Amino acid sequence: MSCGTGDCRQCSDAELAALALAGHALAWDEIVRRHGHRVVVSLLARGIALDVAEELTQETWLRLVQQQRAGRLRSLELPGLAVAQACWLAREAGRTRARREALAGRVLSPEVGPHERVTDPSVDPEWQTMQRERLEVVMREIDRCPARAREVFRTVYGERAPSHAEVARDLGMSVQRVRQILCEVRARVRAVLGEMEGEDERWSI
Amino acid sequence: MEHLSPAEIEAIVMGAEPADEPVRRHMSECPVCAERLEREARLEEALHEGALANSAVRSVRVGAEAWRVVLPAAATLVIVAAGAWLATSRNREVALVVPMSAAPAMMHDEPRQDAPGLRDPMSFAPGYVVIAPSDYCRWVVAPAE
Repeated sequence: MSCGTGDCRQCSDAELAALALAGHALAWDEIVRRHGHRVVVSLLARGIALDVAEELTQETWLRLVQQQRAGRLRSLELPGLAVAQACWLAREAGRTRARREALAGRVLSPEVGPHERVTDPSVDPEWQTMQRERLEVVMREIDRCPARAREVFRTVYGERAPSHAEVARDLGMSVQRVRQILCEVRARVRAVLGEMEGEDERWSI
Repeated sequence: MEHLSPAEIEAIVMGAEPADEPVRRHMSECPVCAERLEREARLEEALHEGALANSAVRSVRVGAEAWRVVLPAAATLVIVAAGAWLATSRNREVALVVPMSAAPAMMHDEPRQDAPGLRDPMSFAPGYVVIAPSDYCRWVVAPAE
């Protein structure tokens, strides 16, 4: 293992998972740094408000650490496990709120709240097929990007999740240039996803 | 507060800059911006998944390319080894045929173990009783009158 008790930033995800399962606090810190934002984004993509998404993400990490300390965590597949845990917490929060409202005798809104929209995708084959097609389109478009843009994209979205400043330093460019390249890649991917689904509105901001 | 700009929404979703208090307040009050944030987060999620899948595909490609190099090298090695083996085995066959010039020297150096008369006669047929030489002599020497 390349990282002992020192700098966990150099560890691969598999090494970090092994250390975290052994109860290494610094490994947990690094896991939260790498995957925390990814979990927040997953909740935002399911319609959860930013503040709630951040709270649920904190709760997710707490639960995972508690599970590990109780010896109930056998493996740590990240970010999948954290995303699944966060979505489950979001669903539970939605159900609890609905129960409280029902007990309080309030009339439930016919409109479905964002928490209720957080569904388990593994049970929906149509969603999975769409997801696969979307993934292929995204990968193809990333491959079509210029070499420098691909390099920046792969470094930023890579396993070690470096900050934009770190990427800029490593690749010898300014932070503004890194962000500009990322925005160009996003614009290309947004356009092809809009074309694929025939709904440009769905992916535009 | 006006709606958030695309750059502001991108910055939140990319984690480039943390959202400050007015932006959070606006996000909780403005369904339009909340929906735009959701759309951009969906795109971010797709990009994360694309990057993950891309790195997995690249590692498979690297493995395949490594095999593309290793396999021909291994095949070359096998061919060379087979050639070397064939060449040495041919030399071995040639060595089995003793040159006539070397034959006498070999024969004189050390007699072969299976040369007639050198082996213990008892080993031909264990249990066989050899007639003692004295009995042969009995018939050769004329009996005394």
